[in-house]
Amino acid sequence: MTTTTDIVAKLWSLCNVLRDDGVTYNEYVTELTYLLFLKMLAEVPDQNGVLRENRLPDGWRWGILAKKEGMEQLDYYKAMLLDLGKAKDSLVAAIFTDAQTRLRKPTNLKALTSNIDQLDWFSAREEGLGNLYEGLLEKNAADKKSGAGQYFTPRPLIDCIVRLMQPQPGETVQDPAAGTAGFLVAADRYIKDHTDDLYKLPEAQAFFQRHNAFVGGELVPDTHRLCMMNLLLHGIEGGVELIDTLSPDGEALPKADLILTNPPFGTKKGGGRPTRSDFSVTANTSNKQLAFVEHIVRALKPGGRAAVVVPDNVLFEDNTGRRLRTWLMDLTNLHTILRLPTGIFYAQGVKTNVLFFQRGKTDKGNTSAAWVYDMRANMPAFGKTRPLTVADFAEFETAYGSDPNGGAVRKDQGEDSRWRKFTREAVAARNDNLDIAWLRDTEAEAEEALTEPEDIAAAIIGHLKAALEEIEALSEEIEPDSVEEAAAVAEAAE
Amino acid sequence: MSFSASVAELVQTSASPLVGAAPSWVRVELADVAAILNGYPWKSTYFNGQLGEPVIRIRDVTSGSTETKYSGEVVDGYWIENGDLLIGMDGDFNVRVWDGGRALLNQRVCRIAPDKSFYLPELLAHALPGYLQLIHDETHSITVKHLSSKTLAEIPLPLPPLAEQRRIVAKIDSLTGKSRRARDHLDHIPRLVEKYKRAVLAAAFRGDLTREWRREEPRQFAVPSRDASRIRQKYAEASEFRPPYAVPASWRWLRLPQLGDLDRGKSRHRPRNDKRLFGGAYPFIQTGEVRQAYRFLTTYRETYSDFGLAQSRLWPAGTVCITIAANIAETAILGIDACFPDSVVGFLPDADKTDASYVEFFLRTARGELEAFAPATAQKNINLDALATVRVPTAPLAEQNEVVRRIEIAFTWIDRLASETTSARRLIDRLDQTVLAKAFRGELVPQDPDDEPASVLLERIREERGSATRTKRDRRPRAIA
Repeated sequence: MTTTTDIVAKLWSLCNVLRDDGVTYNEYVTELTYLLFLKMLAEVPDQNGVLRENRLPDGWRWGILAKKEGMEQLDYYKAMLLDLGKAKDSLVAAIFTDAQTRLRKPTNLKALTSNIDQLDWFSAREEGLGNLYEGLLEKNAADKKSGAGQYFTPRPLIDCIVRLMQPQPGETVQDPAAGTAGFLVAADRYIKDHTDDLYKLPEAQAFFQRHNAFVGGELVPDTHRLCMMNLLLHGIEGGVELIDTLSPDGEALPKADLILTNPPFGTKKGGGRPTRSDFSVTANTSNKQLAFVEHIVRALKPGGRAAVVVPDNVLFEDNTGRRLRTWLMDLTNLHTILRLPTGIFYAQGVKTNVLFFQRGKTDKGNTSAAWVYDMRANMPAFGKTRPLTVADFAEFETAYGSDPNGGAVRKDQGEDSRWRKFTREAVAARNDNLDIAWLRDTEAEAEEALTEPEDIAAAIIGHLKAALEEIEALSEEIEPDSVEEAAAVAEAAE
Repeated sequence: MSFSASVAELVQTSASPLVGAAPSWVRVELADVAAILNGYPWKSTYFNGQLGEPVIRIRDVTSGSTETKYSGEVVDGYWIENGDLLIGMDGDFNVRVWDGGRALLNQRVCRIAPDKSFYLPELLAHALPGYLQLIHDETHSITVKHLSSKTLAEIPLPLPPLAEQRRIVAKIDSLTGKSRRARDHLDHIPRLVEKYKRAVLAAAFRGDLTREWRREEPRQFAVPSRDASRIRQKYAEASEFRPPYAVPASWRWLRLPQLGDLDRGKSRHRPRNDKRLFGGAYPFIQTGEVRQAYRFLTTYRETYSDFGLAQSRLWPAGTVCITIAANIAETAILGIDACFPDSVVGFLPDADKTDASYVEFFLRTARGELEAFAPATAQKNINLDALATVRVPTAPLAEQNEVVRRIEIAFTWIDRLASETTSARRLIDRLDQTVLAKAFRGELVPQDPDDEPASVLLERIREERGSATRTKRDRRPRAIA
């Protein structure tokens, strides 16, 4: 009798077999999504004890699919995917919108269905199906051609942030750029680790955790599909909508006690402006990351806390960027900034930081000082040969302290250290530029140490992309703006 | 020779946008808003590298830092601080906002100190290069061009309202910040491109590029060595060899004599430049041409005559040429039949064993460290015997073709990135120029009718100078407001 772990291992190795058949990781994990979902519906009753399969239109059932053979099975499967995309049930539709299979050989489909058929859904979920799925998502992200890297934040970074932010049962946790649900799943895992898998919680609270605690938005349908499945595999139903957070749909997201997010990098071609009526600072910018920061501040309950991954330009960009930062430091206590090393993201060569802040009860003067940890200067060249690990964050976590809101006792370790405190006045003297670095950076040396062609290519593309973004911003700015804008720039410069 | 015509006329008739002005602006002569300090003729006998005060000489305006020290007596009034605007009055008329530390101003370098209440120093620093370029272009000289303080003093600077000056400067700063960061990024790329190519080659000859290919094409036969009878006696014996790294099981470490014909080029006749050797039908390749060629050699400058051919040897296209008698072996593949002298070694691969492109790429990879691929007894100078001991990590023939194909794909891709980098750089340069051009057309920031008009500002300037007409330039160093 094959155990769940055996089956999960089989599914993992099938990934390589199919890869040789021309099925990419992305396509494989998507296929698994469709099949696992159908299997789940066939095994998991909803809270009223009714088999969820009834959500599916008549005639389409896992049991039927699993019993078929050869070309007949493949044809049934294809027709099923097409029809389910039009289902009335919102969860079903979310999973199967525009669903298409990339499998061409009936034997491959059979290998998948016969393995999955043997799974016991609950023990599979217990014993690593979620990890398998997340592992595939990571493989997918690392596959540079897939472009999926921009939806995937490295696990050690997510886990570090979650440990510091200490999500609590009962809190609403939001990720407005959910990607494949990395942050939400990690927050859920943290809570489960601290509550004996929710068993320590009264039923009503456990219900809340499973159905209402985790919310967010994801723009891209294919990614949203994977996001939903990832959540389902961890016992979380729904919560992440297929929306553009920067549109009026984003205003409707539930206010949060905790926001954890990594908005996608880069500017969208065509520079669309956010269309929300409640945006005041970033209403006219094409810089998506700035707009996400405004959303986050507005989406926090008073006293709510957030950790956001943002690229460097959010910290130094003038005009709108500066106004946003000034506003951020008024409405929230921006207590910590972590400068991340380069080369840790699957998207190439981006320079990033994590902002940690807490929404104040008032709207003025909430930041009195910002602590900056420089994890970027003089670090090893991260890449395929030197991946990021949990241990790399150990020093930072110690310095950060045990208060999620940055209130633990902290010590400025001086000019030669990585951890320093900057008062609000000091930041104001820099014109509210938060791109603060004081260590002599040997970035050139870090790049010298690269040896793998992939890593070197990534560094090159990163530089080229960054240069082109600056050029794009430069071209955009060469239009004469209003007199107020120009005068404001001049005033601030003095 | 100096420029002697009227600067004002020159500017008026020039089409360069860098010397333009918006309709609502006026013009003011440089001397009316700024003090010109000519450098002091410090005695050069006191110039040295170690003792005394730093001195800014013309070359330092270009480089940005001082090299010379002056150990003699210092006269007051010639100290330069960081932030001062300097011009080199000879040669290219370079402008620089000095940040090389406190130093003395030498002759032929000039400090321009504008009165901030009339003309922002930053704006002056942005404006001057355009005017100096114009003057430079119009200055005719057989030797070094000279700029006179008189010409400098007469430059008709564009005068926007002061509030507008501030807006312009702030905007230019914001924009040049971006172009500077963009350039910084691009500067990292060329070195990384070289690294990438080396890394690809290294990966290629470890079998990394074809790992997946091997899984798809498992049944490949290792390349066998040439039969002993076909190897020259002196290269028959192989000394012990420890591979520098592991290669896939189907690969072999083989020496060039085991893979084909390895021999020096021939040019027996002396003198080497005897005219009778040349001017015929047979292309003749020199070491310099091998060095310059990228992979395939198809052009040549000299040809051998029949007489030349008789004392040489015609190698067929497909021969790998390797230069010897130096520390680095340069390589190229003949695209044409050709002769070459004995300073070049030719390797003609056996078609069933290896491919010229494969070997040429390998030698390119290995050339910096041939010792790793040859036994310890190999000599430091590359010569035929040393080359004969080099071990090539030889993949099965079909895989060799795949390796070459993948290298070519990778190189083409990276070359495309490199050329995108060059285009990006050119774009930045153009954008920077556009910024300045727009600035001096008055189109970078909007005009504000509420600003004190430029004409009024000009009035105030003239009042301050105590004269309604143009004043001559002031020789004495002036205190700055």
